[in-house]
Amino acid sequence: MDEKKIIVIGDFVDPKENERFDLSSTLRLKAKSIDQKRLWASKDRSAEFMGDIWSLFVDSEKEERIKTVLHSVCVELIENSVKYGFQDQDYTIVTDLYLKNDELLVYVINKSDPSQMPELETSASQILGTDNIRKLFKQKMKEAKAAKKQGKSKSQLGYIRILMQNVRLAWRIELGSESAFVTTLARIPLTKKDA
Amino acid sequence: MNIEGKDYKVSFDGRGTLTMSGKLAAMTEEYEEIEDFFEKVIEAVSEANTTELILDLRELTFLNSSGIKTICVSLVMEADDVDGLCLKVLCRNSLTWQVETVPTFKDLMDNLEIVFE
Repeated sequence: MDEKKIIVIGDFVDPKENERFDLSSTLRLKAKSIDQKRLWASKDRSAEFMGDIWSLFVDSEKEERIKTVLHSVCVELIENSVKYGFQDQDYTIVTDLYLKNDELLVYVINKSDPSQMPELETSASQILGTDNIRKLFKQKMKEAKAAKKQGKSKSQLGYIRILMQNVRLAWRIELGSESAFVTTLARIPLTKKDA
Repeated sequence: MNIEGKDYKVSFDGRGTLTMSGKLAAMTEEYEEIEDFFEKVIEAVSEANTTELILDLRELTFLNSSGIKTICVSLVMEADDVDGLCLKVLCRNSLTWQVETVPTFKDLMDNLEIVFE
């Protein structure tokens, strides 16, 4: 039997704690094979749809912010799921949203290759450990320029961009020998103080 | 010269204005084409000794992080390497992604001006 190791990074809220939610929605993509270009195209529409639909359930002054922030957060997290998802096996991408106590919790769950997890852990810890997000942005762009000269294209800018929108991030990784289930949590504040 | 995708357009007028419009959340391969396009723009303004390059983003309503990286690395940082070139970025206050992201471009280039309307 495959022993699972649980790794938690950041201030993660277990989805089971969200039973008393005010509102919830789930988008579940699970298929044996999906053309990656189609999945990419559907990602844009899914993210935009979630931004549009959820903006209807918040106060009018927060509507535009939620529409744009949720769209942007979902695009970045679902893109990561497509890019780093296990393409040799079934695609599994689940996007769960909960509105609870003036906070919108966005969970994106996907199945990845376990060999990619050390890089994710390092990247997530570095991003959460910074006290100057603009400085980290500049550093990542310099690294991206150097990587481009070597024919590489990674930047990890997606997570940084999410943090720049006053959104907190956390991760839970269920690591097995054959696969890893990665749950990325984006916490979007809705209170006037934070939003 | 220009590039047209399904939901976006990138064009250069050959003198000093580069315009991006629509919604841009392309896959990595598509950004390689835009990187090459930016390279040609930088070559053109360098050869013409242009002192001001205008990047008009006012009609670009959405851009994902890969797009931001492409603009930063292949346009802003390359423009910073061109002696005497000023990059002027035109933005809209009503577009949240621009308000939250474009000011960080100033950290990558000294001679960069951002105009919000």
